[in-house]
Amino acid sequence: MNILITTIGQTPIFYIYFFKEALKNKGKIFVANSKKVVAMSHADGFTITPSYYDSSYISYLISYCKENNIKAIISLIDMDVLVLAKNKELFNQHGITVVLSDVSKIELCNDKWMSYKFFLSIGLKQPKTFIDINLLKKELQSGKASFPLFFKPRWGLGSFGLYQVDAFNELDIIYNKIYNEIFSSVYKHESEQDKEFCVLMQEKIKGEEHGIDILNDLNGNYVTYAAKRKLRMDGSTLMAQTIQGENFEKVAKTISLNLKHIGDLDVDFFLDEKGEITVLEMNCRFGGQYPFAHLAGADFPGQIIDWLSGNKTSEKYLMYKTGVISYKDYSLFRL
Amino acid sequence: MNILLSFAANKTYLVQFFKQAVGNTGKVYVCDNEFNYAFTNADNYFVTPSAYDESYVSVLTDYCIKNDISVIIPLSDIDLHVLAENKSKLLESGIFVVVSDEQIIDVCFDKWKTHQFLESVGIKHPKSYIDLKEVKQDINTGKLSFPIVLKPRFSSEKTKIIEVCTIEELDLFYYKMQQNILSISDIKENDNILMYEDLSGDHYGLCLLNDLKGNFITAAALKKINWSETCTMSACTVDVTPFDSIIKSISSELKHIACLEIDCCITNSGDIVLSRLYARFGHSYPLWHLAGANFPKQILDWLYGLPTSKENISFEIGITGAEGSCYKIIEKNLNL
Repeated sequence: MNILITTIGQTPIFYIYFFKEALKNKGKIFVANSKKVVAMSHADGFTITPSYYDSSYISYLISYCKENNIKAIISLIDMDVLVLAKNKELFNQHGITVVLSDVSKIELCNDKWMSYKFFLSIGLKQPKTFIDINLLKKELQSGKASFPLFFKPRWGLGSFGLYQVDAFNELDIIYNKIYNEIFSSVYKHESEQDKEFCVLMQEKIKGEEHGIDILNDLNGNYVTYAAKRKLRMDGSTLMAQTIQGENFEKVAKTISLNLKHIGDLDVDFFLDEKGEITVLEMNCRFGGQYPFAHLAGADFPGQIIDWLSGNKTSEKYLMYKTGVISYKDYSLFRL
Repeated sequence: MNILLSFAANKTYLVQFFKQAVGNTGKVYVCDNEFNYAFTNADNYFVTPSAYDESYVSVLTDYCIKNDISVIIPLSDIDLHVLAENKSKLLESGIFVVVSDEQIIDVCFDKWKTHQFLESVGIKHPKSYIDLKEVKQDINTGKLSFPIVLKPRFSSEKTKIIEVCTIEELDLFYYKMQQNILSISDIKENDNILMYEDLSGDHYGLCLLNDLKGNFITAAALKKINWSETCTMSACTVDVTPFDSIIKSISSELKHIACLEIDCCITNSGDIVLSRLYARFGHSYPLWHLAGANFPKQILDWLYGLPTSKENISFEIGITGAEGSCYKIIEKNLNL
């Protein structure tokens, strides 16, 4: 079985090797991107595609898959994930599985306000959160909300447009600044759908930053989790240590049973001194924290390949050691 | 020869280059004031006090004597100043520090002094300020326009650079950055925010290699491609000729030791505008290394008293390199 990873240009090269290793003697790993990138030389085959905003993107991918006997597609980049998920049926008709969740679930994860409401509805602890600045001002004045606050785009990735707000006179200025940043960035497309409420305002969460990968099978049933304590960050996770615990499993199961996503779900949360968990946000795909679990022994790509080949869940792919510390390093490659 | 790379931070690649250059002749030690990734591929490492702590130099000296280390090569801005200040003292203990003189470090570390230096030698650079009132005056009279970039005047990797687009934003973020700097910085100075006009055009990196006496040896240039946070960083080695005149004037004025890296921009009107100087190996060096240069080896050769070798300082033009991330387990037993 051959696999294709799209938008490889923004995907950590390591993922190519995770899948390559998983496909050993079983198939090849192909990658695609809209322009030539370093990662391409690390795969068994590559192609230059139209942009995922382009109308010919899907048909291009379908013919490339057919030519190369590719049976499954995966992506780690949100906008691309959304485009692929929208065309799941079409890919299916050509015998190609898109290993991603349904559109509604991806949209829920990409929209931080919808995610917040989802977390509340399933009984998970959340910080006070607003998308209406006037309501926030009222609550601040009546003492129901308090500084410091974090403002960030409702649709956006990593630390893009993230600002701490410490005083009343900062509210409007920073709100407007983020608004302007959103509409001069790629996030303007998603933010167009609710221009009036595209900035999320949230009380600062207490605790240490953690992350968890939640693995569901291809039918959306809960399988396992892999949790990490983040030791150093810089928008993405730079250094982390694997951990395990009942409280992490409980949160993982709650999210998984209610979301019923497919494959990996990347979730960020805070853990306070009392052991209480506050979930921050989630991405409906592999993200920047899974590699830390992989290095500790987990092999979710291996499990996914096995499922795609019709095999059952196997413990050997799910186990990982706790206490393993890894870091993200950079090296320069010749293009 | 054993060497110590101080404040090696996350520069695992430089540790690698120096390990190859040292080869079987010695060991490469690294230090930093907190655990950092460079520790993972060094022969040995240790955690130092803060570079601003009184004991810093004596701790380093003791460590070097104990481990028979005869050369210190600082890799970050943090301890350049204190090492330059104590260069002759360290030499008395038999330790040579590959660092330029204090005033050169000052010119590079203090971005306001960089501005004044470039002004004095007639090299173009962005309109820069440290006085908020002056910025506002010039905006009001139309001499300066938004966006304006705010960054800490003294090199610090911990404070986020902010671009502001209105007077309100300027006031607010000036204040917030001030608070932030005061809370994390070891440097207590007034006027510690540099404000300058945003640069648009093609961005380049230069490296000026001088020998250990400050004589000019060679220069290298690269053009930055996709130089944004969201894309993979990539760059291409290019011909250095267009930069000849600024290289000549900087080199003859500064007479730095070993590497000096420069960030600059060729604007749409064709002007070469300089924005930053680093009196050390900077973030661009790995590309020239990839293209065939070996400045770490050349520096070690000089330390052994050997002449400049063509092999170490030449590299190919037109080589494109891109950064890729990878993950590695820390196998050493660390007390975190």
